[in-house]
Amino acid sequence: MNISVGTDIVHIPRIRALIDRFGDRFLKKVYTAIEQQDYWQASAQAMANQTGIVRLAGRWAAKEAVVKAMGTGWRGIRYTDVEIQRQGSGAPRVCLYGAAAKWGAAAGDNWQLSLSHDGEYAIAMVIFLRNVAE
Amino acid sequence: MKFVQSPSAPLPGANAARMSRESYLNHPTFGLLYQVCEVNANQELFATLYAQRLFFLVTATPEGLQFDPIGRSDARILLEHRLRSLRRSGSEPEYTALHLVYKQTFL
Repeated sequence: MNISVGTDIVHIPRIRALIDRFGDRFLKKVYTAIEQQDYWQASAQAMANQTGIVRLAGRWAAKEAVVKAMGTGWRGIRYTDVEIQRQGSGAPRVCLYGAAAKWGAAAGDNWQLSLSHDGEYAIAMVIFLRNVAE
Repeated sequence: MKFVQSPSAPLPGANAARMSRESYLNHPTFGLLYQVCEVNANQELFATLYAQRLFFLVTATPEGLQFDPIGRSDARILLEHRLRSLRRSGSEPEYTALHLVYKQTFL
């Protein structure tokens, strides 16, 4: 078994600026329906939308980190092919679709993801346990 | 570094009205790019969506899309050239829309 690591850091105000500039079009281009729903729910509950933006920033970082761990780059993979779900415990989980899912199925879909944020930055760390043919 | 992305596909903004739509591309390494403006019939200027700091001249070739990185100042010159061209041709709505992109990207 091989271990691949991916990480990414996001400046949260940049995500806010993208929402301000591109609005819904940005959300739909980058985030899956589940991720968008989580954002709207968080935004409805939080003052000044901050929790929702932080979640979007964390998910952007996670998507980038996942693709880094895959080692494929974004060739043929859309941002919505990489979904970051929230489990009942609150822990994040990677779920792949489309071309990314095909890649994941072949390599062994075994991901560990950790997200964190403080102040203006969100960070994601991904570990991918890759099956190696014996 | 130059990238060619295959399979061959037309540029997303090609032959389309640009005032009311946005075009995006995935760069193999830098991820989501958005279309800043058309440069000529086969080339469009794109920037990275996240930070709008990296600019690429994207060319449609028989082999696919070719991404040539260019500097911010060169990208700005290309956009200013396009603005002048639109002003001369009297394309007021397109000029106004692109001027907004100019302000959001470079000012």
